[in-house]
Amino acid sequence: MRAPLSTTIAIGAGILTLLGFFISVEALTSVRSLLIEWAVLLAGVAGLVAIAHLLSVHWRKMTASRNRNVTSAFLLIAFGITFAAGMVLKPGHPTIQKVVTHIQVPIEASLMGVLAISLTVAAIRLFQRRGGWMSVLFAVSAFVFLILGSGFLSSAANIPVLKDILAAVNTLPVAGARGILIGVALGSLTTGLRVLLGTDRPYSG
Amino acid sequence: MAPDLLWTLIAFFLTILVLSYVLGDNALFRVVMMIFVGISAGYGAVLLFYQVIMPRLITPLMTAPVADQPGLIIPAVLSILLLFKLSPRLSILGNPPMALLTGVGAAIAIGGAVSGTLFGQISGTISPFDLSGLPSAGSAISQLFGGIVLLTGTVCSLAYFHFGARKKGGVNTGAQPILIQILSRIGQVFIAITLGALFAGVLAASLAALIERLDFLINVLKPLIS
Amino acid sequence: MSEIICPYCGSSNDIDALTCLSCKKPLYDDVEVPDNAPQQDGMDWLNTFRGFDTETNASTSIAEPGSESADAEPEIPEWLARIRALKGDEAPPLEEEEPLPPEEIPSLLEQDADLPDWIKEIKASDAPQSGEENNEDFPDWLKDLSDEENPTPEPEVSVGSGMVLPDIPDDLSLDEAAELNFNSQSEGAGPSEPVSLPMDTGELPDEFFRDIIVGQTQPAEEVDQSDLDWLDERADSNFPQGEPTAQPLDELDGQSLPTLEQPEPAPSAAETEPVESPELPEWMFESGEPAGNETAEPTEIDFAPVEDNLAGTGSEDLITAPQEAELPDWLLEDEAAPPAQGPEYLPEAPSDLEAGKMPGWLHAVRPIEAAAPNLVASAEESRIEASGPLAGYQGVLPGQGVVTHYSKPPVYSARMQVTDKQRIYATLFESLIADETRVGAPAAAKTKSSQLVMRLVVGLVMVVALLAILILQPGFAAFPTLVPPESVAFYDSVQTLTSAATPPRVLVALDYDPSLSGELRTISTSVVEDWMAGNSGLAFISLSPTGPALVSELVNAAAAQNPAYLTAERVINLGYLPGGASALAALAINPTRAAPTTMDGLPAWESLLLQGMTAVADFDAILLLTDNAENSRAWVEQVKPAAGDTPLLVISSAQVAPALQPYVQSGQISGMVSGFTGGAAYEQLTQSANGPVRRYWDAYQGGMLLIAALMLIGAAAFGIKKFVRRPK
Repeated sequence: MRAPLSTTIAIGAGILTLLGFFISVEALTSVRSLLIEWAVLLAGVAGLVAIAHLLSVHWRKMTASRNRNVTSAFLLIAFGITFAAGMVLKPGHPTIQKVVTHIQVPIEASLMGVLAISLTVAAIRLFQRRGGWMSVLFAVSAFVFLILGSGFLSSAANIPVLKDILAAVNTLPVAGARGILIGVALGSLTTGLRVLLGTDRPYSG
Repeated sequence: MAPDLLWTLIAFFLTILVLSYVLGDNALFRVVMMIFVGISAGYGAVLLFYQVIMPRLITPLMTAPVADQPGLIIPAVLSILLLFKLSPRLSILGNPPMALLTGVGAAIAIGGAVSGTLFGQISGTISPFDLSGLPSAGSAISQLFGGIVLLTGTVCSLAYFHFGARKKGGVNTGAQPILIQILSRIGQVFIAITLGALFAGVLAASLAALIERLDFLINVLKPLIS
Repeated sequence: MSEIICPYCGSSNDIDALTCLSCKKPLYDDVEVPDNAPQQDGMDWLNTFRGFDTETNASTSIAEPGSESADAEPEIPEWLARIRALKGDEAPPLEEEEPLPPEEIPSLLEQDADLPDWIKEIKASDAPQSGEENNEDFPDWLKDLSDEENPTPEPEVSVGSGMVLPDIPDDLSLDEAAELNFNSQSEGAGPSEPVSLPMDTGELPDEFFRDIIVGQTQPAEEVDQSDLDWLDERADSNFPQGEPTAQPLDELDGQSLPTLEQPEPAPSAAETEPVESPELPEWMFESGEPAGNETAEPTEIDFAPVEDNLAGTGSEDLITAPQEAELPDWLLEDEAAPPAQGPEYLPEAPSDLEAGKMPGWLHAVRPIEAAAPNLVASAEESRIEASGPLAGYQGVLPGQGVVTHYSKPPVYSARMQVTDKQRIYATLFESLIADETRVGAPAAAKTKSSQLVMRLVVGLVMVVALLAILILQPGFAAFPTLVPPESVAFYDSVQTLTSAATPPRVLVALDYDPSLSGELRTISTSVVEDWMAGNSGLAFISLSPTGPALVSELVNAAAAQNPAYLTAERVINLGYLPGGASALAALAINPTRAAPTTMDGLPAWESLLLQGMTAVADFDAILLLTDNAENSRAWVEQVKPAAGDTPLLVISSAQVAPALQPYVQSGQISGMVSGFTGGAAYEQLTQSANGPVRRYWDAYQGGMLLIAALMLIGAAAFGIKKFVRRPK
């Protein structure tokens, strides 16, 4: 068996956690709680590892003899300043929080605004795609829900059957979304069982 | 210059630089993206240290009684082992903590999917057919119709996603039964409508973001103009 | 035995007959009776053989080898006598037998007086007649003959490794086998392939195949060159070429049976081309002329079953060596035959003869097939089962022969065989494609530039329109009067909790990224204001790293509208919770251990706000601010079951609202406000005159309608473009 120790840990921890979820026994619940706390801690450490890996990659790109990426220096400098300030001031400090509210928020929100323009261009070309009746239905659905989402029709409460029509139309995506949700849940169930049975071992890479 | 104004100007120019992407990719945009990633990583590292490592590992190890220390050793060792993932040669040492993460995550996903989504959504699909307590026949008919639409859409969407024939070596091992094919066709309709609604929702959300950014720009410029 | 009624005179004829015995007219449409053919009753089939041989140059007739067994020395042609003399030098121990001219065979068979010696001795013999048991297989005409002549036991010669040759004229059967092989050879023009012979043996008598085996055991290279010296005397011979030869029995004697799978070179087309020979014996022309053109076809049909059986079964192995190319096959047989005509084959010692057996040549060349070719045209009809319960039956369904003919499927080369013409076409086609590609590259660049222009135009239109609306604030957009039920439920929950006597404590999960903070902060501000107005305790927690920073922004914006609200006491920031669903599971189990400290590092659960709380169910409500469908699902799956009756209220971005609607419908989410539309509906419900959403409502609705209009314009433009291009 490949990676026997890791496989044993994964299966054992998974089964104990699952048993603690379905069986209300104090011992199992405690073990489950302990394992989940460890998992949260390890998730935090894994986040740090990921950040360290990101920095190492950009350091290599910046110091590479060929195809040197100078812009990586901006990343490393920005990281260094933020990290140093954050370690000194702690994350709850208003200045550190302004890094988020006045740097991250403008950048990410502006990117989202650019996305609005790009999506509008895509929406204009929706009817030009030749993907069959599914594409046409998708475009029509997008158009209809754009109108509904604008609230334009919601202000016309005096139209007699409008409320029923809107309710009926809004029911349609709920049905499809419910099918998708159940499908995702079934997929999660299957994937989780494969991990607990040792069939899938993504940790042994 | 007041610090708030400085931060506001930074935000203003960053907004302008990012919106300049509408005109095409440019060097300033790429620099801004690098700065954004660096700042995000720095803030995230600080937050992880102060919000996770310190209260969950270092502080307990420093302050916990000696009797409780062994219980803290295991996560500490696992955390150290996880750091070996940074080294390609020693990354195998990081497999046990990754296995713990995966196993616990799988169990949590199973429990949540069963109790949270499967039971809840199946119950929600059935509930419209409970017509008791409705004020009028019209309401009952309306609810029944909605329930039928929901049931049909749910079943057909599932049929579209989960009952396809598995391919082996590029060849279909079996054809779908005719009933599944019909349900799948109907499910396609519901899924197309749902995806259209999601697309409209993304458009609406991004439009809201654009409006908020434009309003921010106006608010920054209005005092300067006036 | 069945009989055939003559279509001319109506008299009954034997089924073997080609012509009517009474009127001498042909019994079959495709058989013509030659005028000058020897009119020997019952012997017409031999003439057809002769004609076939002459026509196809494949071999001498079957009767010719048989004639060798007869003692007809004076009638031997001179050229044949020379060959015999040559062979006699090489086979001194064997008594030479002179071949009998074919035209005499009928009389030999029919008239006792002209019978060859061996037949006479058979008749005179009183030896046990073991051949009687095979009498059933005899054709009627032979049965009659044998009844009259009381066949004698025939010699059995052991050849090679236990091989038993048929007795009565062995040389004849040998020649016959060789002839049949030659026939098959003349049919098969393709290269020889090693084929296992036994697979076809079921279709022919065993004795016949013994003869064939003998004939095939002689590789062409092993033929003594001295036997072919006579060919030098026929430098300008026009005999048929490329005929195989049969191996003399004396060469076979004492050697093991060679494999039948030895391939031999195929004859060239020139070798099989028939030419007329001036040196042919006169009798050949006499017999050949009348039967030549007229009886060739029936004769071919006669042999069809045999040829079919032999074709591809290794009979091609008998193709002669190049030095024998000019030999007529029957002459080669004749040349090779004398060694097999040893004294042991001759009926000189009748007492040594064992019980007679069915001669292979007689069995194979039964008159029914020879005389009535159209009756045996089908190979299946002539097939005789050699084994099994149907052994001896004729015309049963083919089984073994068909099955054993299947072999490994041919392997075809994956490499395309291209002719020059095809290559020219391919080059031409490739040049056409290249032209198209060259044309397509600028077209792609043009498309890309047009897309950039389109994006610029659309971007400018949108930005200008939104800026104009935001600056001018025209107020054309009416607030929604039709409020979604989930927004009403949300509003009801907030109002119920905030109007309670005890201020509620709410767990606020801030789970959105900065990218959508504009939307969610705008929607949430009104709600948080209402909570603050009710002096609610708010405990913020976030699954996003930027969440804790956004909390302060949101709280500050909401607190600005509620100056009396004590933020420092009623609001606590539990910070960031890493791990996704695992963190939520930990929070659901024990929030005090999952989020032990505040953002400032203080013990959170010892604060006045959270004192005494140990579970999420202790909160009066859970408010989730989210733009992420996956995390929202995790909240519903992990936290909601632990929350019990605590309502889960959701403020969501418009982009995840359709994905969360099923949870709203199922009751797992108690109420939801999604997007600017939901925020406007909530503000409409709260009668807020100056809410944050109302500030953006004109721009939002105008922008949405603008996008919808652009979609329609795009569809119309595409339709017009398509309509205009169609005539072209």
